Amino acid sequence: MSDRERSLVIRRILVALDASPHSIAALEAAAELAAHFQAELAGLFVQDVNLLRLAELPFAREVGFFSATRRRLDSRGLERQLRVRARQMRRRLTGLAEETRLQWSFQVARGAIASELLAAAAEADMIILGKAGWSFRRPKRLGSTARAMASQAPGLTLILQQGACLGTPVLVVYDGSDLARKALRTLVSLIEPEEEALNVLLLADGADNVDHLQREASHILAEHEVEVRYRSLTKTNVPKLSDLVQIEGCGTLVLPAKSVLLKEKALLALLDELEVPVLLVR
Amino acid sequence: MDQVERLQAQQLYQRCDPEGFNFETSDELEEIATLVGQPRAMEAVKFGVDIEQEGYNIFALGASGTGKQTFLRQFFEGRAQDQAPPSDWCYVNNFENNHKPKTIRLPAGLGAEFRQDMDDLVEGLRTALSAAFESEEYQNRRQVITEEFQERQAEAFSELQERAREQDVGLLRTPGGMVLAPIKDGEVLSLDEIQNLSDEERQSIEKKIEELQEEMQSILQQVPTWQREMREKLDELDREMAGFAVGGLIDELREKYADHEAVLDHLDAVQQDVVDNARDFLPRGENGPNLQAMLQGGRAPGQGGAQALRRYRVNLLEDHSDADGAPVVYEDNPTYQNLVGRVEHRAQMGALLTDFNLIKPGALHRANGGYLILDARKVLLQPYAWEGLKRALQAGQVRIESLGQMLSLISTISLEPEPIPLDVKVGLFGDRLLYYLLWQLDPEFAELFKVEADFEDIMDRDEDSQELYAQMVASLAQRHDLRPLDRGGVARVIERSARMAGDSEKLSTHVRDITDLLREADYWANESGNGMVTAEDVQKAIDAQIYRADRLRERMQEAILRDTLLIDTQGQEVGQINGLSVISLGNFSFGRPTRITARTRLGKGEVIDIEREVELGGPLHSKGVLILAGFLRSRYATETPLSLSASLVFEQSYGGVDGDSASSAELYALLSDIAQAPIQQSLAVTGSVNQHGQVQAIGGVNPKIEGFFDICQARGLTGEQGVLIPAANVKHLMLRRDVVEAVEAGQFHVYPVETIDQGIELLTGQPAGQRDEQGNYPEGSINYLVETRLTELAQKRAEFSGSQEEGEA
Repeated sequence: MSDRERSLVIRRILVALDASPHSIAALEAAAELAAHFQAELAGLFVQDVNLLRLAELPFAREVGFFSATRRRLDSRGLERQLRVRARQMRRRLTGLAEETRLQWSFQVARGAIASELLAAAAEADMIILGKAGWSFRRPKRLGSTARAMASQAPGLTLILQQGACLGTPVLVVYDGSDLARKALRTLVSLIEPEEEALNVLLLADGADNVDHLQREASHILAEHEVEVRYRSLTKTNVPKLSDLVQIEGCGTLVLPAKSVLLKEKALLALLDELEVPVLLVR
Repeated sequence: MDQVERLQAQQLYQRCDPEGFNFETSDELEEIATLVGQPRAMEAVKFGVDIEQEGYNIFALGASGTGKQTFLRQFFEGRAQDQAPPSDWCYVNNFENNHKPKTIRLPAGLGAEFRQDMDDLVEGLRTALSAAFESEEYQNRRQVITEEFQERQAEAFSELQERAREQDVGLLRTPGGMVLAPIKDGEVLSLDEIQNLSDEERQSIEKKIEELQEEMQSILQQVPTWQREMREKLDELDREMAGFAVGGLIDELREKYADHEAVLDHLDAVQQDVVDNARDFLPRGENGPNLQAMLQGGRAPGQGGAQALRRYRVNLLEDHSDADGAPVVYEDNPTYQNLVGRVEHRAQMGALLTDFNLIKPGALHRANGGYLILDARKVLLQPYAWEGLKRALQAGQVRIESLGQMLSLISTISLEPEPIPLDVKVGLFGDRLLYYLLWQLDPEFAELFKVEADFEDIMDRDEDSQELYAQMVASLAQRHDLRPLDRGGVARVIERSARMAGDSEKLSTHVRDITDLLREADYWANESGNGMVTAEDVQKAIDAQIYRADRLRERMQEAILRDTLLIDTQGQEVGQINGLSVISLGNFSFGRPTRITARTRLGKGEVIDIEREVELGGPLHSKGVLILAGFLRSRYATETPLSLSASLVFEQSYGGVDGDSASSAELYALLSDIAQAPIQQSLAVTGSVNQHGQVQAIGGVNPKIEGFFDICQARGLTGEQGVLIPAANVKHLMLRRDVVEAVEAGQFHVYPVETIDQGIELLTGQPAGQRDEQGNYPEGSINYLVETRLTELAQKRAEFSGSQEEGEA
């Protein structure tokens, strides 16, 4: 563990924008974080290539969401609509950025949403996106793009749902892995240590391992003057993690994106259920 | 013939003897609340108050300053003390019909409590409803309902999506809606791929999509219905929660006001309304009040502000919780709105809005159950105020209507508040003329103001009444925080009052003038450092009053003394006499001597009144002149034609002259000229005359005598000078002290004259003469001279007309 890794440097925050209510929550959180780290706020609006391709089909018909009427979908009209949306999001982003005097950029890309986002994420230190886009998943379920990001995005991924904002207390999951250590460090740089206590959830494969994990964690946190409370959860109890988050009244959850104890499927299921912002550390 | 006795000094001034009083200073006297010298008016007011019949309202008529208003107020207040305070009237919202607010009548004092209770209720409801709506139970149930809706929607679409996917069709969102697309490996087929398909395949895809699209449409069409169902469920939930939260609070009030059915009805309506609009009580949402909500006058749900909750308040028109008795109200600006009340408006977003909270009471509301005092003149001066007052009294209820509404001039949002039953005794006060005019011109007046309380200007003066008057003076001094008067001061005030009344046997009832005199005397007492108001202070106040007002008198006297206006006060002249007139300016009147001259010649028996010829003489003056002509004819020319032409004039009079008080003087001048008997210019004359030669009473005798006296005194009293007054005016004499002193010293004289003969003897120093048994006047007497001269003229005229006839023949 080098010293360089100790303090987290975030220079560029990418926020995925599709004009859905979730993505607006994401934008607001991104602006807040960018202000905190004095980082660049980079907005990305992806024109879904699937939609554009569809518009070229002769039988493509759009059914109005409110009017329930059917109308012809043509590429030019669709492109114009997408441009309008992009412009709306750009205006929103510049408004926020100017308010907090941030450096900002806004980009419109065309392609498959997830891959475009992943490509852009490579150049950013953190990616922030809404829990779901415009799809028809059941409410509060993780959308397809968020799902892809959760399992593939490098670095830090923050997922928020509509109406949520970064809150305290922060709960960080620690399982002793490298990622977990990184998560812990990330977290310390994110919060104001004097103000809030930190909740660390020790995820152990057995009860006898808990003490060991706690020692490790407190070693990492030793140089930070922060009040720490420890909770522990053993392997068999992992499915109860979401209940615990609710009981603890947690404001933001920080998770290592990969964990022996929290496999991808379980992670995605957890993300489905949680309503609080989740920061994934990879 | 009897010699006219000149008047003694004590006849010229009816003193009020301070020794007759059984007090030293006025503060020993008890304050009296009643009016002095107005038994008729007092009786009338008492009757008017006690009779409990419709239309028996009181009109107090009389000259201003006689204490009408004060008496009405005092009398009403006296009665009101023993009466129960009237009911409290409240306006509350009419939940069925907003623009017709309802009234609630409550016993005195309960109105304020009710108002407070309703305010507390609203506050309590706010807390209770916030608690109810923030409760976990509510939040959970609400979430269940919204989630149910979302799930229903999502389920329908997921199902559709699932079915579509089975057929390789994807469901995508566009910015404006939804699209179905053929997919392969998660990607939408491109145009090329579609074109590469066989016709059959393509048709099958299109058919699939067509079917799914129809299905999607039918789902979307159902969404609004689901949404409505959700809203209904949410509303139902809100009502259920609100009903639970509200019920307990309102039940407490129901118990408290169990005896008042109107309150119970109102509480029912309030409960229903609160349950229906529970969201109004909740703190403002994120959106804040929108424009629409503001324009609707705070009826928008979710606004949560005081505006929306105004409708539960109670507008208590008049709070009687601290009242000791029935109200007595004097409205000094009786405009229409100040009488019947008004509905105010407030401007909001450029529109004028109102509600029942903006109903303001008028004087009729405030006086309801008690007494209302109004100045009749002021009421009549205000447009529609008189009509409004009459209508309220006739209908027995106050209906608040704006003038604009009444005249259909303005059509802004307005209210029609339920009228309030009226039970009030109105006391109007005003001039006599106003009363008689109203009686004559307004047929409704007699219906509504049946009690006439006529206030006297004067009262009898005797020992008892002087004592009562002293008490009144004492009370006035006490009431106005003035120094007490010593008995001399009181006596002087009483004497002054008699002078104001212009009658030594009467006293003035003009309380205001007396009060002013007391105030001014108090000022002079202060100036001279007296702790008490003495006769000197009163005298000083009177002198100062006169001095302030007598600039014109001074100028006139100066003109006489400088011989600009010719008035002789010694010597004798034929056909010239000093008449006396009175000039009134404001509250001050003074006498002015005027030279009256008469010239005679042969003529056809007409007496020319020059004043009348130039239209400077009034009708009464002309009447006097015609009467004296009648006297001449009947006394001296019964058998022969009156062959005289005479002209009479007020010398150097440039204004109008009216009244017949100079007719005796004119007759003297005429007789003097006919008889060529000179008249003493040291005398002045006043008095009217009738056709029998009797001298009759006139007005303003005091200033007339003083006016002539002032001139004589300025020129130096000779002991010859004096004034002839009608004997009937002796009782009116209340002369100035210097005049009385001059008479006492024999330097000035006042002669009470009953007949023209007495007068002419005094003026010429020659006997008037009585007819003897043959009907002839004794030779050398004035009457003889006059008759002889007239006979002469008649003969001359006969001769003249005879020669004229001859000449013509």
